[in-house]
Amino acid sequence: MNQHHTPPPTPPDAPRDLLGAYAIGATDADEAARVREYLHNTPEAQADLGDAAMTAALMMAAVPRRDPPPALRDKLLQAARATSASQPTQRTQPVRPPAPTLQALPKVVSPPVQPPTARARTPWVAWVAGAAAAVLLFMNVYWMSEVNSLRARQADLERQSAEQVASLQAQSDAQLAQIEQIKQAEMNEAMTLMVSGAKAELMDDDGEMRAMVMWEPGQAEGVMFTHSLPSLDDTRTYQLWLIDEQGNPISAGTFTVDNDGRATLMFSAADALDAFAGLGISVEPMGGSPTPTTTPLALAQL
Amino acid sequence: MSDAPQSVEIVLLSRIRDGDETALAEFYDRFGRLVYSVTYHVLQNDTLAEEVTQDTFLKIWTRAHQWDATRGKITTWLLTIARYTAIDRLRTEQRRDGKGQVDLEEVVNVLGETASIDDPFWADEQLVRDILNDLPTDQRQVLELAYFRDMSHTEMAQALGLPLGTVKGRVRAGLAKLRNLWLQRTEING
Repeated sequence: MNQHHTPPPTPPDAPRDLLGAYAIGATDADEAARVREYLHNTPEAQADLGDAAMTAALMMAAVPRRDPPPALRDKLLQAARATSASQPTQRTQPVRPPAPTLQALPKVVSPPVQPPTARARTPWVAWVAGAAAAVLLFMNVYWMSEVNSLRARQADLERQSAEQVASLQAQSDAQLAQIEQIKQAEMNEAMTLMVSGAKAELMDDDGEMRAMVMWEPGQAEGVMFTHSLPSLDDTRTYQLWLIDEQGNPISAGTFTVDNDGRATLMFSAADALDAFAGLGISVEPMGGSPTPTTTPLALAQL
Repeated sequence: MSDAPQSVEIVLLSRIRDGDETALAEFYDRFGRLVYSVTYHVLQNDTLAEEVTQDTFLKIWTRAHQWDATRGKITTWLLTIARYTAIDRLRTEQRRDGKGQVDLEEVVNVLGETASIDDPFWADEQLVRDILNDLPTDQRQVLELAYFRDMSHTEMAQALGLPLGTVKGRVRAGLAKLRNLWLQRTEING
């Protein structure tokens, strides 16, 4: 080989031939730019890139094993806790404290989707799951919007009611009751209009509605909104329970309320919510309980 | 990997998405060693690997909803996050230290390491290790440098003192051989 001979510049590689190198990060900046352009213009090449990436990922399986420091686990959990406390809006759902029990948890998580395999993927399963999630998200956003609107309307009604009460102090209790009935009727009407699907109102011992749960018939996902629940100290949390036909409570998650006693909780059950006999909310130690440890403060029969 | 563990992983991820700290702990118990192994393999430093491992699991904690079942197994997704997080840190550390190149002797030593097979969550670990051992050393070397040390064709050519075309050829041949060996072995075992 002639050491002094400068080889002629080689023509640039075809982007197709660089897909593997791109997948493992070996491409130089100009090569990467050409590959990205190729991928943009040739969507079917994404499959080849995915194949190359999966092949390259095999290398991670052969990495020599090494034990992490024992303290790392606790550090991670502390950091996760801090993240939850400082950045709750990063989640797709409100951050909740630790779920209650290992026994109850599998019953309340989303039904497992069909796991993919490296060779035979089932995109339609993921699509269906994605579509379902999108529908649920849409419903949630819709409900949130409607509830916010309703809350604003309720505030107006309460303000109007207060004004009316002030002006009607001299009038009879019957007239006041009539106003309250109208207000409640409007509230109920709005709620009914708001939700085309199923709903359940969780009432306290005084017959006051403390929470509403809404879901689409036949679906295992629901959303709960609370109203005027007292704030709790840091050692306690609210817990929503699904009550099965045998009367067994199954945790649907824990939640805390804001200063106005409001909370929104999306939850999933192992079965369609229509199959359950009732719903309940109880106050539990922070982190939740396997079964209710206090008398439910609000209940609903389905 | 069987479907059963994957189902468990999906359930764990679902619980993590719901903010279940217990699920994060279980997820860490299941994958912490694997993630730490990958981050250490990239960074070759215990302190940095510890920090990056924590960062990786915090990303899972806050982005569990981003996992897409159509784009691979949870393990692959997790380790890809770990690898990229480690590489980002490697870039940062190299800039901080003014160190533009990796220690090749170190890489060669890493390539020669062996490890115990005790991770039940990556059932094909031994198979993969056998396949990598069957790759020609020069091909495996460039794949390692690119994949775990974030080195481009040009950087590898400079570091190894090889023509650029040779490096590109080794990368391409190494990946093709890796894929073929994987297909052959899995067909034999499958």
